[in-house]
Amino acid sequence: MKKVLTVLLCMMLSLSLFAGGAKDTAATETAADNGKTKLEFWTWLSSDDAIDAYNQMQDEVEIVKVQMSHADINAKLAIALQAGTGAPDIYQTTQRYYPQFRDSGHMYDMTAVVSDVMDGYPSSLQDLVTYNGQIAGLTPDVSPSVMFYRADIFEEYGIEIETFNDLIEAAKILKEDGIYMLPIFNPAGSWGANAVGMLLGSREGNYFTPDGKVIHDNEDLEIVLEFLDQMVDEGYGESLTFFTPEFWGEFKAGKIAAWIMNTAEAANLKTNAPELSGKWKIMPTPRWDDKDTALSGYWGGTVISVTDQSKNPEEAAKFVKWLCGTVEGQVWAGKTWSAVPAYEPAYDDPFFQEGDPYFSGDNIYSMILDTTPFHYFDWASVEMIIGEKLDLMFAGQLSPEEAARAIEDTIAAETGR
Amino acid sequence: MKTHIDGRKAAPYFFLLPFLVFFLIFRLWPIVWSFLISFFELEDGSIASFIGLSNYATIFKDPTFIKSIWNTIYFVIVYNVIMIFLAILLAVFCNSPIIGCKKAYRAVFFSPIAMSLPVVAVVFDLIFARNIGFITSLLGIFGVEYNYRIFASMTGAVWAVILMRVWRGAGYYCAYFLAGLTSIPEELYESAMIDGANSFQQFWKITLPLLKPMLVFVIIMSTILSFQLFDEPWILTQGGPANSTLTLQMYLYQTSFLKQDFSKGAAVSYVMTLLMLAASVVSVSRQKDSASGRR
Repeated sequence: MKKVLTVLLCMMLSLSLFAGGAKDTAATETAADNGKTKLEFWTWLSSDDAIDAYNQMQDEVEIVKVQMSHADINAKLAIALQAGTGAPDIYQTTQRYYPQFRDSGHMYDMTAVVSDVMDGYPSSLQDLVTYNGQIAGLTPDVSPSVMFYRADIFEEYGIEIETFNDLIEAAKILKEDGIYMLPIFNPAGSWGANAVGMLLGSREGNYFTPDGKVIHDNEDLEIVLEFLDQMVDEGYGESLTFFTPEFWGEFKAGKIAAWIMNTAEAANLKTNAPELSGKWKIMPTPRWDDKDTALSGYWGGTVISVTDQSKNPEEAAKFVKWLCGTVEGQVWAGKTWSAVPAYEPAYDDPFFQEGDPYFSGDNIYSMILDTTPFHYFDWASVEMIIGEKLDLMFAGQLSPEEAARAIEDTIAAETGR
Repeated sequence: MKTHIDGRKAAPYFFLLPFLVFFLIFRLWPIVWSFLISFFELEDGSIASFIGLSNYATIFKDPTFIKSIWNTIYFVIVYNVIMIFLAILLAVFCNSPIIGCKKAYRAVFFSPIAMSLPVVAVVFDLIFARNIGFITSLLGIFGVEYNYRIFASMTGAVWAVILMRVWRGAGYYCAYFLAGLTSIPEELYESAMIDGANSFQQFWKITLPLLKPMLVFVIIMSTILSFQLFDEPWILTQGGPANSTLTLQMYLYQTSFLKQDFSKGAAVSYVMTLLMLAASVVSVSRQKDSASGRR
């Protein structure tokens, strides 16, 4: 009897291992306490209020948020999609990394659920989420550039900015008092490629043609690199690793006068430097002196998709449609993570016309100019290549022209584009 | 034919079964699988075609991979030399009969390893911050201007990473050396003192030789762990500037998870394994040579 018990115990222990391994994933149809079906949503954003609002407004499903960094989402999702198990019902990723998931063939075709709202998006975003004629996701937000600036510093020094040359001229004056005009990503890291891309966009430029070929002898790229190199070389910009304590510390110490950045960072500023409330204002991205019109550059924005591992893809797609393709959902996105709506009808809502006391009453949405569609291909490789070449340029080992050619040639060689 | 199972003999295997199942599935199989896929092209997570050593050839043609190898080897050597020297120094200090409050010192030396890495990174970021940092404030007292941004320097960034890692590791390995020191008989020091040996001679002729087994253990463990360096440079520099702090482990992460090339990533991991193995074999063989009196 003792032996039998021992054997049984061992078998139970062994089996318990497998039982423990059978983690609830998207494939589950676990019922919440309220009887609703749970749907797992991977995101890095603090979108709890928006999710709560959706959970309360319908009785079918409960969206359960799993928060992790977007790097983790990309890594875990890549493995889960390849393994055929472990993916969530719904996930959010950056637009620049989205094509690799969209093209994997593992996205649920949302066409039947969301086709009626597609006219509300710019054509570039419609193209981004479409694969083989099927709609694979929706964009909840976009990230065009604006210029945040310290109104008190600009007023004290009598600074007025219209063009990028004005920025440089003003930077010369500020430098004498130990104030930097802009923070510059140095070392560039993954931010470098995005920041250069944003400035490129403000010149109607791109790294790639719409069909994914590298643009060679890219004059726009060269001009952007010349500007950045001058900012670092002359000491007009402050070399910083973005979003570190040092970075925010310099803002708080009044060392940084302005920041050309994507709109989403407004929320970051408010969170990390609340004591500067009322000192900032916002203006549109300056105009390049050789251009007739000013444009907003494009940082990226995000996409939300449903995976083919979801047991309730239609319900999941309905949530995505509500958040990304209705005015109500877009207002919630704006309230919870300061999203700039991708769905254009949302701009008519009074919420997006209000001023922000942190930015001295300025309305960030009114500072967004027209944007040029930006083309993302093989972004993981592109980020690494551009980051390295920028660092070499900032270190004086490459001139802006050499850096531009090195970027083009290396991307072409490594990606075959 | 009736098979008789001896319950007494079988019982240990049944008890081991949970571990064995776990080990085979979650430890051994990933090792075997990752080795296999380094020779194959993957398509949608499944093996598509045999490509032989193609992945290995590709990574060795990539200058970034070569740079990451050199960075890692440089880091492993410099870090281990400085860290082990400091750890022994701290251990000798803590073990010295003339030092009081030894437990307090031990706790202080050991505490950095218990601190959360992001917190440590924040502290180091603010120590080195050019305009608002600790060094700036300190030098400012003496009227000296500090205008060096270490994380933006291709030669300085790696030293920032080394410093941070040494600060975390020295106290931890000091505990190992302390354990080694306590096993050295006191009589040896007494005899040496009677023979007129000074403190340095005692350390050189008695302490260090008798610490050798622990030293080899620490070198092997620390070498293996430092080959896997990832967190510190990832948080502080993301491998920059210009890949000057890019380590093999970071290259592996970039290849496997950012570029999603799992088979090439597997090849990188086996090159890493070989390097770690080589470093460990060299350390152990030197210890054996030394123990057998050969030079």
